[in-house]
Amino acid sequence: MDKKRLLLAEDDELLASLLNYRLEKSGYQVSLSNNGKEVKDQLGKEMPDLIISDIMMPYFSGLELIDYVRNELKSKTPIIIISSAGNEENVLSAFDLGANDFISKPVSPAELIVRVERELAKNQ
Amino acid sequence: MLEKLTYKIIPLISVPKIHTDLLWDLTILFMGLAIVILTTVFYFRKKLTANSRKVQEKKKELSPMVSEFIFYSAEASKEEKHIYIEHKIFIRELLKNDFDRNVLTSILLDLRKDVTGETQKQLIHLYKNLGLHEDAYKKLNSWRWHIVAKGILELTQMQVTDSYQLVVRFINSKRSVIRKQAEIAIVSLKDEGISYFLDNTKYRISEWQQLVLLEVLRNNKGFEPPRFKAWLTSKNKHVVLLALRLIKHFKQNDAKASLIELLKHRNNQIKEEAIYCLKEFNVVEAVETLKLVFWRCSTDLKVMILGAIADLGDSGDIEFLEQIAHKKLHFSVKSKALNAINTIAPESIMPTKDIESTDNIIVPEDIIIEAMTTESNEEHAVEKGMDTAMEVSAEHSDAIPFEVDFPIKEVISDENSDMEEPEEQLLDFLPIVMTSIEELEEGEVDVNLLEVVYSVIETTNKTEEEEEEEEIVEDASNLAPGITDVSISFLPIVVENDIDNVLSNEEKLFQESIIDFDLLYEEIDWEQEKMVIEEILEKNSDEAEKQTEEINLMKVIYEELVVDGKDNVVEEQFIKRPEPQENRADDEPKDEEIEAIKSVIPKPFEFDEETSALIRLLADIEDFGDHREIPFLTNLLKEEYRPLIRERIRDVIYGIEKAIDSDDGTPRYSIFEQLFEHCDKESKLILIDEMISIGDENEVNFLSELINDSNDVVRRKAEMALKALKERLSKVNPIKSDAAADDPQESQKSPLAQSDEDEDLLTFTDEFILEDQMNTGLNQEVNSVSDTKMNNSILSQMISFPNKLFAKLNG
Repeated sequence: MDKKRLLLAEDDELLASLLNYRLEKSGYQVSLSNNGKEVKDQLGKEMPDLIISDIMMPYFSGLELIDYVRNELKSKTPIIIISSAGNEENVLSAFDLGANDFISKPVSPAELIVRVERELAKNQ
Repeated sequence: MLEKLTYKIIPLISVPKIHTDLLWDLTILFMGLAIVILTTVFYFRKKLTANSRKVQEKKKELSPMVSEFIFYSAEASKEEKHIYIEHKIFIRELLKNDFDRNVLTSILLDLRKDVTGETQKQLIHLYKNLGLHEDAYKKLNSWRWHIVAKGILELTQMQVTDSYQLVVRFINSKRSVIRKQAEIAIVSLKDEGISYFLDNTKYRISEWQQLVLLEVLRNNKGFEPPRFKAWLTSKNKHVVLLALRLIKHFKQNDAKASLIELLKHRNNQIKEEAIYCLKEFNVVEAVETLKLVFWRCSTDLKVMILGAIADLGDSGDIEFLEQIAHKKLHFSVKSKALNAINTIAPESIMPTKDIESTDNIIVPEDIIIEAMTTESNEEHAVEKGMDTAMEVSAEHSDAIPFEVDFPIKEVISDENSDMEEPEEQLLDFLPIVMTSIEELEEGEVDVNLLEVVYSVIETTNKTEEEEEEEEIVEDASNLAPGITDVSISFLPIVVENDIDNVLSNEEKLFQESIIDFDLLYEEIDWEQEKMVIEEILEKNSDEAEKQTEEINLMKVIYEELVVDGKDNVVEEQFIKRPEPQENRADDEPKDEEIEAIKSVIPKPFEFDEETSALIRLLADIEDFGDHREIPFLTNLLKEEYRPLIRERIRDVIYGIEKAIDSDDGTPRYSIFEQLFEHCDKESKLILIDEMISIGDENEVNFLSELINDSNDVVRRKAEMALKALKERLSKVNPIKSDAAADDPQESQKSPLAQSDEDEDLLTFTDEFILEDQMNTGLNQEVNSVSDTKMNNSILSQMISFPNKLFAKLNG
């Protein structure tokens, strides 16, 4: 069975590495991006099955990423947003732009896996 | 003059004489220093960048290992376990290097902030397991304050509870950063930390620090707070303040007396917190103390106290609030006092600012204002009070929104005392009776001086309509004494007044205009009218005839129909009717339409030879058969599987049964009768034998006739056959045999005809099967040739008859 492809856009390399390890251990094929430019390049090449993105990223914020995916690429790929606690306004904006779910920092990797599974199941 | 206007330059500053070599020396010196500084900056910057890069690379190298350690489980595969052990050995080696230790600590601390749940627990466990907290302990002994603070933070974040005793000593540190970090650490690491902190802290606890400590306690799962009232007696006012906040946060309402006592505290912040707590716990006993301390408080606190009185006070406190509103205090205090009055007694103070008086409002004469009378006197009195207050407030500054004449109760009582007696007020609804309207208009008569005669009003439960009826009837009885109410109640009510008074002017005008119409009557000549009618009728009949002629004269064009073997049905659909030439082209069916219709029509069935023979046989049975064919048909129906044939068999059975049912007693003829006319004596004898075996009531009649035959042999044979046939038939239907024998009409009826009420095909089938079995038995007795079921039927006998005849003739 083909592995589901996830794109993880997180500027914190340590957290990205930790989440990447956990997601791969759960059976997903994860592409890592540390900034918005990389994300844009990767999306141009291939659209993943699900995108996990931090809201605050250099060059290309999470909100811009959602807008790019939804309005320019016209893709309905599920997007899960990672936001810092107390960043509710950004979360609401993300939902307005078309984010499917959000998870706040500090992140529970187990919770993230559950949310990813749920979104992928919804999209099938 | 010119000299006066000319300026003279006077050298006030003399330039010191500096040696040029010295200047050059200084230039070189400063340039050298600049180079040294720049070099140093570049060196350190490069070193820091290199170090940072090195740290980043190390982090990149170590982070997957850390992830593996965190997410490692005992259920991992052998390969994973092997990698885990290798990494463990590798990390143990790394820990010997300070730089690597620092990087590893840094990674764990960073991740600690970003993750939660089980991952966080694993991370903390890994930190302790690797012995990195030992480094934090070392930091606590550093002479540099920021290193100490960093060490305390590290131990707090990694929840090293063993470090509690080491951190406690920093709680009264002179360095505020260390002290604050130690406070947070103590409160975080152990539940009893807050108690120790409140007992021992000597320094000021900043507002921010209090909020942080509250947040730490709030997020501390399973924290059991101590009774914070114990620290209300602390000599450190910041501790008292924090204790009050903690009491409010954890809703510890067991310190009412202390809270009331704290209202008298010098510190306004403590008073403020105490008021919050008292309001939160609804300590009504605190109202008197609040009133007492009110006068010594600042404006803000006064407002707070009034808010508390509004929440905790009752009507007894309104007087105090009114007094405050009267005093020359800050307008916000007065406003709050009025607000508190309205909170305790809603709507007791009404708005007064920019409210116009209603005294000068002129109401049109035809408008009756009832609303004012329905309002309660008390409300009216309050309004009056407000009006008075408004007058007062107009004299004062605009900054005071409400200026109330506070003895409202007195105002109300005064208003009531000025009013007329209640009994008189109740009679306000009565009409004023005057001698004449002119007197009233002239104002000669004072209404108040009029003598009013009151009559007793009896209350009843009757409706207004009933009362009106009673009044009218009462009047009528007064007019005609002797007639009782009951006796005239059936009569319609007659209004005595002139109708003109009832009708409006417009109605009158309308009636008058109708009456005034001039009516003109026209004479009709009957003869002339008759002629006109006849003319119209004649014209109509001519038109009808003309139309009929036109239809008859229309040319009908017939087209030949080419009937194809397959598509004849389709062609029939399009037989063209004669119609006008111009419309025909449009109405002609197109090929597509024909194809569409063809696809709907089912294709004809084609049968094989056997089926065709069977269908022909069924057709013959239908034409010539009778009830004796039913057993054969029933068996055939059982064996048949094709729905079309089954349907056909059912139809044949139904047709036969219908014929039996419709039998009205008309005489039946024997099938042998016709054969007898065209055959010789031998053949007649054979036929008589056949009659014995297969004959029925019809053959009984025929044999009875043959008894009188001219030929003796035939006659004797007929007698014998008749006797045998009757015996057979009596066995078939023993009950009716006698009657059948006596009554030929009765004997002609089929036994099945008796059960014609039962239309169920299955019932018939059973009976026929029974009859079939009986027939078979009889055939065996008379040694008939019927071996098969088909032989049992008359048709099969007829089919086999020529063969038998030929066989007989051939010997």
